[in-house]
Amino acid sequence: MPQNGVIINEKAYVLGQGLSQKSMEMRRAEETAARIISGSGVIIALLLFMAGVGLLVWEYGFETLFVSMFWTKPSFGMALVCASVLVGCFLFEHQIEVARKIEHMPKKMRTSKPLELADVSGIQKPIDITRFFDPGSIKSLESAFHIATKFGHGAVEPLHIFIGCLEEDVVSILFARLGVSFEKLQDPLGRRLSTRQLGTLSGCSAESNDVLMQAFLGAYFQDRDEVGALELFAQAYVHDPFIQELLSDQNIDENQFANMVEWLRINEKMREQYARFQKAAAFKPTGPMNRAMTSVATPMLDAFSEDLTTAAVYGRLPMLIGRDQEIEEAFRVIEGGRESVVLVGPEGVGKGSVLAGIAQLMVEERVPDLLKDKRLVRLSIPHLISGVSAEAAQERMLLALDEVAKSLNIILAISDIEQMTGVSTGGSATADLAALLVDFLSRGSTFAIATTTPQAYTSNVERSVLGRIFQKVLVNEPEEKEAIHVLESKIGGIEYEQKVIFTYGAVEKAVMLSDRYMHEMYLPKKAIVIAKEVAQDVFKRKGEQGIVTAEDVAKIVSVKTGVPVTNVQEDEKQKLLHLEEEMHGRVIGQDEAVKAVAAALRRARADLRSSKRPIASFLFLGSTGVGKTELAKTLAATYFGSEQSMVRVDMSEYQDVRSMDRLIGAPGSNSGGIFSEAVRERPFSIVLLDELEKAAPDILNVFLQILDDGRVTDAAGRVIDFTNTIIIATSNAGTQYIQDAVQKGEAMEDIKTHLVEEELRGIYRPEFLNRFDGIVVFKPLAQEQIVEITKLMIKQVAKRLEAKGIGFDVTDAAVQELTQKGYDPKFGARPLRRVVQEEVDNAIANALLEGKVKRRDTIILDAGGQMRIQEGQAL
Amino acid sequence: MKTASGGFVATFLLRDFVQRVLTLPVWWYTIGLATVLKGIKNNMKQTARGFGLDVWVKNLFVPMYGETQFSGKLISFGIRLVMVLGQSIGLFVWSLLLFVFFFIYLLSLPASVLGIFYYGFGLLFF
Repeated sequence: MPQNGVIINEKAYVLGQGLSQKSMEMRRAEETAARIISGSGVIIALLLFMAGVGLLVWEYGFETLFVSMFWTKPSFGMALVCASVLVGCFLFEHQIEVARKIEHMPKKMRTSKPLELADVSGIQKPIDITRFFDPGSIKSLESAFHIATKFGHGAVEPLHIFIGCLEEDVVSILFARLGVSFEKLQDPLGRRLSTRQLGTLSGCSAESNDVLMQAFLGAYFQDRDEVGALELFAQAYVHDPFIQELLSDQNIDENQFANMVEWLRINEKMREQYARFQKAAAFKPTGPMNRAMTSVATPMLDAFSEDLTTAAVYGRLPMLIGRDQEIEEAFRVIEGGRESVVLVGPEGVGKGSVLAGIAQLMVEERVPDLLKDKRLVRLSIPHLISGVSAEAAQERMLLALDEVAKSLNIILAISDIEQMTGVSTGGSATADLAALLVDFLSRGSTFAIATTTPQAYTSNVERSVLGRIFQKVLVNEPEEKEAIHVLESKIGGIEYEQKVIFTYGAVEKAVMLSDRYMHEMYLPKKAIVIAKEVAQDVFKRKGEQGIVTAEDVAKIVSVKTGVPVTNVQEDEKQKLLHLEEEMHGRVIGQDEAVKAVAAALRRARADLRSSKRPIASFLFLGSTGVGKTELAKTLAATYFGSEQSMVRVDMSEYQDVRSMDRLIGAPGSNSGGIFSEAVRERPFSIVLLDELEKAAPDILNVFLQILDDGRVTDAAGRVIDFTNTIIIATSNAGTQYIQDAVQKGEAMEDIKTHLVEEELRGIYRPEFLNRFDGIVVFKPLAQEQIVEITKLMIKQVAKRLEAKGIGFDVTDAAVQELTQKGYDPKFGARPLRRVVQEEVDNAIANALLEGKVKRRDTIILDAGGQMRIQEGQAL
Repeated sequence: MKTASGGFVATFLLRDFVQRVLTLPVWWYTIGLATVLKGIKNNMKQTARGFGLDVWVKNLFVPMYGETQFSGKLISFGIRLVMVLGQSIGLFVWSLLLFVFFFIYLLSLPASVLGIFYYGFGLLFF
């Protein structure tokens, strides 16, 4: 009969006879029997021994112990002692046999081939995988059988296993971290159970058998000693779409579930790793002396360095998660040609952790022979050069390197190796410590593991003497998922320090938001920084055992970046829904433009936009004074808080290529441009590019990239993030055509098509126009709209007077008159402002200066510029 | 936690007890002996690692404390030789103890059976 199983190391692992209630009961009985035999055996042996010795002492006393008669004369006491030894022998056999029955999980092999289920009936003595299940998972399976029996179900399904696992501690932790309460699952689970097929319980269903097999494989790939309830639980989730749906209802998707399971595994692994490490650390010497006693004291080096292996022995270095590939590559380079290695990666990706990981492996001696019985010593360049002249620094370095050469047991670690090149200290002289190091290392007495950033590698290492001796090993920024795992491994420490508890949501959010909004730092460091800050904040607000939620993380990220990333609150929801009305309070007409801008903002806040591009980008076309800039200002004021939340760039200042320096910084200056710095400081804002048609074509190319990728690199090499900006470009190009076409009464849609296809062709390249989310044509203002605008302007005047306690009113006739005077189809509402200034503001100013108006009076403006003053009530 | 059913437990108790008693004499000098020998071997290895004997032997001719002059080398060799000898003696003493333990193991089963007969039944006949 074919039997499915997997083959690991030439042994077959199968799911025995299929798990049944009886088989589990028998196993429990067997274990109980074994325990009874052990327990009673020990008691009997002890009793026999004590009785025997007691009898002997009572009969002969201690002094006869050395008399031969004592050993030769038959006595009941001695017979009892012998019997106790015999029982002891029996016990020994029993214990060894019980231990021999325990199968050990196969050790994970270093193979890239995935294990697949196959027919293993031809292989002798297949091993039953349920032998590796720990008491927790056996208990969960028993519960699953119990539930199936209770409900009269025909088979144990993944659903039963899922419910069976719920009582386990590890599952409670998982639910608590995910923020799911069991009560919410109870009803749907009950309903689901009532729909299962009834019958006589025959054992596990095919899916459940697969759950057990996959749980075993899961534990195998994790290199665990047993199969825990967590693996069963995780597999039950994977095998039952209903359970996935159930948790989806609680806002837990597959990735989140998998990352949460990984978190618990990481904790477990770190515990095992720590225990193994402690054992190994007992053998590692912590002083300068190696086990072979060949090294010498290194007083000079000690003054400017830190012994990483000693720090690791005392548990002062963080445990490393992942990065196996990078370490392996470094070891390969070292083993291959005794060459030195430089780990190249941006600040915060974990180069220091890789060094710590190497130190830990050296403590455990799980390293190539070249690194065995050695210590990893980190040379501190700042210590070496501080407070002395360049010559003295070089001398110190030479002495330290001399000690390294003599001691024979030191591997150098050098953080930020670029600090060695062109050091100038204490005066005009420049000391190039790099040359000394290279000379020393090339003699082959030892090697170094250094770190640097990609920029420094290109500018200071690759092209200097250091490049000759150091092999580059890249340490890239981890992916989001890996970064979550790294942060999960750090959460235990943060929770212990700050006395708070993190939910999974908070961990995920810290990684996601920092990745999205903090472009100047790298994962995982930026996520760890955020997590620490949030923990502190939550402890202050919620006290000990405060729960850190995703919303707490979002709040801190919002404060740090100025980007609103928290959930949309009720008042903000109302504001977003009625954004058009609010904007129309300031912008008259131009419905299409207002709608487009409001819709873009709503998309952004509902998180429906692409996170790799700006929130939205618009090109506003139309003649002067129709409200293009006003709309941008209104948006800044209504949504971004104030008109100041706007980075305004007059493109007429960027008419030639040289102005690129002002845009993103001059090459080699190591600083950004005026524009890029402004956006860097205020990443959540409106970028207004006024009079775009005046910019040089090369300048437009920079914006082409910004519109497409949402980022630009400044002269200092920093990535400036535009993904939280709304880019609005205004242009007067094609104004004449718009005015003529509107006058002719052409449809707006036709006007826009003609504009893009014909009028703008010579000014902007088609691919540039294509990058905008929307090209909005602003209509010339009609007479009635100018009336509305006049009223708006008068309202503004009234508001200014209100501050002085003076009322202001305008008659309809006056409004009409002002409109007549200020209306010019060519210039839109712009002349109107001037008219209001001249006719209204000036008259009021005169009245105020002449002292004609007092507090509580009302100024009434009538046609012909007549101004009446209505006296207010006396107090 | 549910308790195992009494019937199964009694069956297993009887089975294990009878099996162990019957197989004990043969088991003692086969599987048991092999297990003890393996244990002794592992213990010896651990002890040797603890003493660091292998490191000392490997570096017998390597000068200590970076002393590379002739006198330094000579003294180093001397000290290392003494250390290796001392550690070897320590290891030897420990091996002796393990050997005694092994001897006790070999004898304990027959000795205990004989002892019961000799001391117990002797009372009846002498």
